[in-house]
Amino acid sequence: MHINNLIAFYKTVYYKSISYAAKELYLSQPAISQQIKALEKDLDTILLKRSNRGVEPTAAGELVYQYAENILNIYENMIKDLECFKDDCFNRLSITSCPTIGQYALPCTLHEFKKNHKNLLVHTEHDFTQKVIYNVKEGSTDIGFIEGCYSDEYINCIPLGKYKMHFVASSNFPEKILSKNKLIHYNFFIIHKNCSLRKIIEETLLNYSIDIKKLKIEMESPSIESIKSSVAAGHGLSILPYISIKKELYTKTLSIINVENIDFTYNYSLIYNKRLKKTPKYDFIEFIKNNGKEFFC
Amino acid sequence: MAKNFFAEYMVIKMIYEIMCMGEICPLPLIKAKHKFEEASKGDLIKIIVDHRCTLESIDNYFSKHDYIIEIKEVIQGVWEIYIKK
Repeated sequence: MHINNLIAFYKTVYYKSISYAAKELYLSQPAISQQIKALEKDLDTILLKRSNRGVEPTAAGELVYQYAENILNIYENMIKDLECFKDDCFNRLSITSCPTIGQYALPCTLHEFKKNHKNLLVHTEHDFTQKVIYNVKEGSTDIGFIEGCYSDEYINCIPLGKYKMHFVASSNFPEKILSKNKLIHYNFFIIHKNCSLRKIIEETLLNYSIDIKKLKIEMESPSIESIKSSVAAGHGLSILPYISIKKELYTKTLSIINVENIDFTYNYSLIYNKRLKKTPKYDFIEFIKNNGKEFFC
Repeated sequence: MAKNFFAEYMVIKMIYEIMCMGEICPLPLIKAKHKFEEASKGDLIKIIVDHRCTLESIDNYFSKHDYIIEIKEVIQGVWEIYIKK
């Protein structure tokens, strides 16, 4: 099987169109068709339903598409590692991080690490914890930062410390202390369900016998920044990690509301694939182990 | 320290404020250096940072020459650094 055939198939299904795939890959449409036919022949399965309304994957094609995504991710990682190898910068590090750590804590840490590792090319991405774990497991990323802890037969986990979340409101909000029975009177802007912080919020609230479904949820968003601006505009309350609201607390656009001392503490940790052995990549793990607490302030 | 701080404060001509919240090393230090060059003798520069490593890099750079007057942790994880030229 040629990897190019797989790419042609992947792009075609991705765009649901042979002509778009052809455009992106700088190939003609017949060339793409031929590559897909070759792939179908190699795998001895029909992968695409062709009609005059475009193309659609068959059930088998759907399966191949999912694998293709993984295979191509790993392939891309290999190519990039190889490029680095050729350019004498042996150290390429790919990191996927959950949004809070990736946006607020990681950049500084990377800068500090790069001071002593000049030939390092760092590639970072932000994604939700579940996806980070998945990426580390399948090898498309070297190191992941997640909320909570996760380890299994493929993945090692190093707990780094604890963060806190707080109820926040605009600083014009008249109350600084609220009782939990009053929470239902306010609109809430909450982190999206896909984010693992949401799970922590739900579990903690449940421990204090508050059902999140009873709260008036005005908006769910994966972006902390957009939640912050809605709350700052006085549209309602939210629950956000301390690390993401330091600036707003200092400039007094947001303030923390104490709701019966409800304490949202959660762990964050670094995960890596047990297969990871190459030294420069391992250096980073050691660095985080020794200094992580200092930099992740 | 605090007493000293206010005594010094009296002769200050200009106060500059550099907001470095959410900014990544080495940007805050570069900004601080830049402002420091611009400032004239007796001016006070207030830098607000929210990362421990930024705090350390600025502290290291300016305390060599005894320019740092005070560092306050205003709220948890946010520091105000006062530098006097």
